[in-house]
Amino acid sequence: MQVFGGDVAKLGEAPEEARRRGLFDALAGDTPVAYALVAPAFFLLLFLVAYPFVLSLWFSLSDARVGDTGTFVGLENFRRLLGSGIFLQTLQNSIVFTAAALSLKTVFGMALALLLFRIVRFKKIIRGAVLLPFIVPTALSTLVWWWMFEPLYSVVNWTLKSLHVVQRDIPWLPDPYLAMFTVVLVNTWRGLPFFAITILAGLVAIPREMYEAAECDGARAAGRFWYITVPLLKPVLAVVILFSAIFTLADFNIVYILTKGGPINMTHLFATYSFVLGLQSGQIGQGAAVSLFLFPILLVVVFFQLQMVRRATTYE
Amino acid sequence: MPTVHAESVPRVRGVSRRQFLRVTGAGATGLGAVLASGRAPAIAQTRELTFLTIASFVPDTDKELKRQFEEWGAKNKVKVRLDIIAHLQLQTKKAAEVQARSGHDLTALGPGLGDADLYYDYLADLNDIAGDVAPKNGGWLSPNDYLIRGKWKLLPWWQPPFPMAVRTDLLEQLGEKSPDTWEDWLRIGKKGKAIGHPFGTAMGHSGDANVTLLSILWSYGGSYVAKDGNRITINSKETRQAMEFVKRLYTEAMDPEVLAWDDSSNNRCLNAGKCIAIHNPISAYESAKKDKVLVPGTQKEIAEVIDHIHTPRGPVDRKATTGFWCVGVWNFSKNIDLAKDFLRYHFQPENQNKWVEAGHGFNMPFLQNLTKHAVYKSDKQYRFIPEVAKVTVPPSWPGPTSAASQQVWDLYIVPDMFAQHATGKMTADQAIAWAEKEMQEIYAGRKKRP
Repeated sequence: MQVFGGDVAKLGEAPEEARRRGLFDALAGDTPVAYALVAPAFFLLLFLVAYPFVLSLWFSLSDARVGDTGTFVGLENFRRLLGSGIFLQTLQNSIVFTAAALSLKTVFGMALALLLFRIVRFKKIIRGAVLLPFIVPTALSTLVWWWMFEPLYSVVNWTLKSLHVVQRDIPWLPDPYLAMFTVVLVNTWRGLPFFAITILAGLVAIPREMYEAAECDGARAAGRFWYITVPLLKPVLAVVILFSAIFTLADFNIVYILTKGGPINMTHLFATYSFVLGLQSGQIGQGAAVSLFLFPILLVVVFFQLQMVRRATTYE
Repeated sequence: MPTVHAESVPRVRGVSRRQFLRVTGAGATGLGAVLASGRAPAIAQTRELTFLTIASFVPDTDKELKRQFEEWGAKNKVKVRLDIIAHLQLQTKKAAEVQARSGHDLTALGPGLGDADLYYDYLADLNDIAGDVAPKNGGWLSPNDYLIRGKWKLLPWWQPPFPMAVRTDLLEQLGEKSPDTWEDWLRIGKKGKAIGHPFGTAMGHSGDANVTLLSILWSYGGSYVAKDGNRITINSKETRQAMEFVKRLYTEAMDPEVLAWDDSSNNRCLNAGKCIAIHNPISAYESAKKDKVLVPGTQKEIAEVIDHIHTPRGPVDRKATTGFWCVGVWNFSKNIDLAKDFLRYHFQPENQNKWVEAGHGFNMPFLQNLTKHAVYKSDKQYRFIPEVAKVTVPPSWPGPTSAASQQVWDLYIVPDMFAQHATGKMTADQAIAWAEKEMQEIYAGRKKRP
């Protein structure tokens, strides 16, 4: 009776349960769940990436000033920038800075990764320590670099003079070319761990059999590096260079703390010049135009680099 | 019978229905009004006045300001909050507050009067305060300089005048007495450099570089913008003369490190015993005295061999500028009247006196009576400060202060023009042409909108 009664009860509830199940099925279906899971990331991207980007795009095409969204002026801000000697110098500096820092980071990052790959003892401690420059807040570490290179009490100069390597102070920051060298050096120091650790991950993933086969065929170390390591690291290298190019081009802290764009504007980068124009002088439209000046070129570079990554991955 | 009926109405704890309806009705209306206005009723509001300012190079100044602010708050039953930040952070903070139309009620402005033009639409008019303050303090030093578009959008607050801070023992050693002109300093700097004590003035991206190089430009009869505020006047034979002088000063009397100096580098150079003289406010001396810094290799305090003399004159004039630090009230503040009331209090003669005394005269107000403050007679070091204040003009002189002149300052156009020639990167004509183009572009860009 109980069973029967129970069955009767179930039969009585069937339409409601079916409705409930239908709702459950609908909720449990692939599409709504997918939307629900993607929604947080989508809204984060929308508000934290898309909105600021569209806003800065608008600013660059407007005569916006601090406290005023401005009116549309087309490409006027970009035209004015091209007539400014400081901007042209900034453009040149940014290209030199990015190219030099990226080259150094790639070469030394690869060397450091190979070294880390070979180290067996205290592996974890050493790999952790290598990451330190990347972890320490840039403003703080750059202040230490400033202290090391500052014109009056440079500890680097003091050491070099004490060791009789040089007789006079080296003008690390006052000399326009040495100042550029210094900011590149600090950027390289800071970005090196990112390169080294990412390349190291790529090295670990290369099958050992390939090296063994090459050794059997009589390939030397240089050959193995050039014909096995480099081709198989290409996808990793392309991604790491791409990311680093974007970060390096947008660098602000290092230059602002070490040189403030000087001497004679020889170390101004897009970010520091944009800061002066947009925030200090209140010309937000012009500041945004400086920031976005290289965007179209970067877009093309990113497109081709990603194409290369895809091709390389397919080959692998 | 109405009375009987009224008495027969049930009462809850002594409250009649009518009283209940009256009270709850008034409450609902009040709540509705509060919700509609978005503000708490006056009785529930905690009045708070906030003030954003910069850390002074003489910290006692900030302590005295805080004391006055708190004293005023206690008298008026207003909660006060003074936020002190590094001067280099003020630019971004101001911009962020204006962009958000929210932040502090009172704010420090500067360096320079340009903020009054840049933030003209967001600053409350202070004509009434400026009018009240002046007669009590003997009048403003140069009121016409502080009016922006005919209005008092800020109150000029304090300036650190730029005398020459010199090493008397080294001058004596070199047989030099009473140097007074820029040419004197070229000669002395040359001799000083030969014995390891060069002259020092910043020539890079720093406020001090703007101050000293503009002072030299004016002293040679040059300027960068005409009185009408429209015509760029940098391309002149006077500018060429000033540039040739600075080139000699840089190559013969200074070390190349000045190209990378910040605002504190010259202080360090003097206090480290290296520089024979620097063009700077009294802050270097104050810190040397406070920290009992010694002349290297001796037991003598360096403060004892530092003296401050008049800012040098050139062949045409004796002029200097400085950071014109100002104070203003945002017009989006909900406490404009309170902010004005505090300004009236702070600018009372007795409070100004105490404040200047706390700053040891570093913070000279732009008020006639305060330039004669007893502190400037208390130490012979300060004797020239009032004299320097008399020849101190805004950085855009003879042109009016504007957002464009502020941008010329912020982009370090004048120091870069001098440095490009001094370092041999450009000829004088090329450097002047470069600066002229940049300035014309800045002024033209600012003119496009009212």
